[in-house]
Amino acid sequence: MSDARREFEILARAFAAREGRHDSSSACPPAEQLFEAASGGLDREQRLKLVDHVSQCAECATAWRLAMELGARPANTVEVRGRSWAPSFAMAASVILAVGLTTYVVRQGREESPQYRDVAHRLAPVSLIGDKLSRKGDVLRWTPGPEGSTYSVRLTTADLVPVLETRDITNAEVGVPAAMLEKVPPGEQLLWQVEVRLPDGQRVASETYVVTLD
Amino acid sequence: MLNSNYREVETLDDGDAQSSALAEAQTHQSLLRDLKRAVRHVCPRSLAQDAEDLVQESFIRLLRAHKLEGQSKLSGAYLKKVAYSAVIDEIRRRRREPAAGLASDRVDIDAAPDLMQEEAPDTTLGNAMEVSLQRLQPDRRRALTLHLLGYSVPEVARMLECNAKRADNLVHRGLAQLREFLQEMGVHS
Repeated sequence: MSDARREFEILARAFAAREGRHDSSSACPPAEQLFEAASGGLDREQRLKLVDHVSQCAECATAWRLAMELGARPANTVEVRGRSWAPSFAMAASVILAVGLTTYVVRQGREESPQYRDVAHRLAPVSLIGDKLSRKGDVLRWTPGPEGSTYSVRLTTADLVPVLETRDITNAEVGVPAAMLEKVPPGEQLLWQVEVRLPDGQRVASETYVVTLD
Repeated sequence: MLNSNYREVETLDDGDAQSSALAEAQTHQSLLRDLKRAVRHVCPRSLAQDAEDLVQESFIRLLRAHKLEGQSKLSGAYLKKVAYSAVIDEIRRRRREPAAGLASDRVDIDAAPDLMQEEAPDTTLGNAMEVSLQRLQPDRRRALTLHLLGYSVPEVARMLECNAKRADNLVHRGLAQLREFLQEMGVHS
């Protein structure tokens, strides 16, 4: 287990072991609602309200985890954008994405001001590979920054288990040896992101790319 | 002839009723087992030790209430949900009882050797995390909370109704910021 994974496990266990406030039950949502929300049910606003409650109520977090133990999980029905685009449509998709992202950022900005600075940065690295990764070994490649830039790359499973992490490399590509992909099942989706450190010390991260292992 | 046919039908009905009752009992047993396992796995030690009693009591109460309401049979996903609710209500009821609360903080090592094997999680860290989470931007807090509860990144994306890339970013940035807040508080993971 990697250090990052171990640290996350410690945090998750500590989060589960918070001391409950025994006088909070009257303000807690009914159990049926928690089960529905844990299953991805209810409308989005209601669901998020319950997630907010669970983030500060240890007892309801326990109830939520109990629902998950009984199989309450969100169904795979929400379309995940950007995964199934064919490479031949990449250019058109980029235009649509740019327009869509701008609209999204503007709309979101009015609500909660998410920080998309890195994604929108003109020097943010952009993937030069498709959405597939060969388990026989492959290369992650991206647009290079100005001369003197260095890069840090992170490749993880969808559960955020690290597969590859490299820091301060000078080439705008990194090999992914077959040995590192041995334990990842075929068809698994992996996430990767690269952060460039510009010659002036500024760091700019790419968006997170999704690739499917063959 | 008519009587003979009638007896046959009657016998078949009895058989059907028996196998239906058997299937219902099996469903109940299976659900009871799942509930007990879930309570042992998820609940704090004090409650986990009482899983057998807690689940049994909730379940009996549930079946009695439904019989009183004239609903003779509960099955499938609905049964799971109402049984879950009964267990949560029972947990909440026990927690509201001050005496039970005091007693439940003590753990009988002999009675629960398997529960004592794992290293005790850090409640100080957990409490500090709860405070720090409230300081995060709402989307980051929600994504990180869901991931800490045990959802994978694609599941977090479905819960938040966003794409996997955004969910991944929210989790990572939330985690990085959480670390900073914990350090500020002098708490380390």
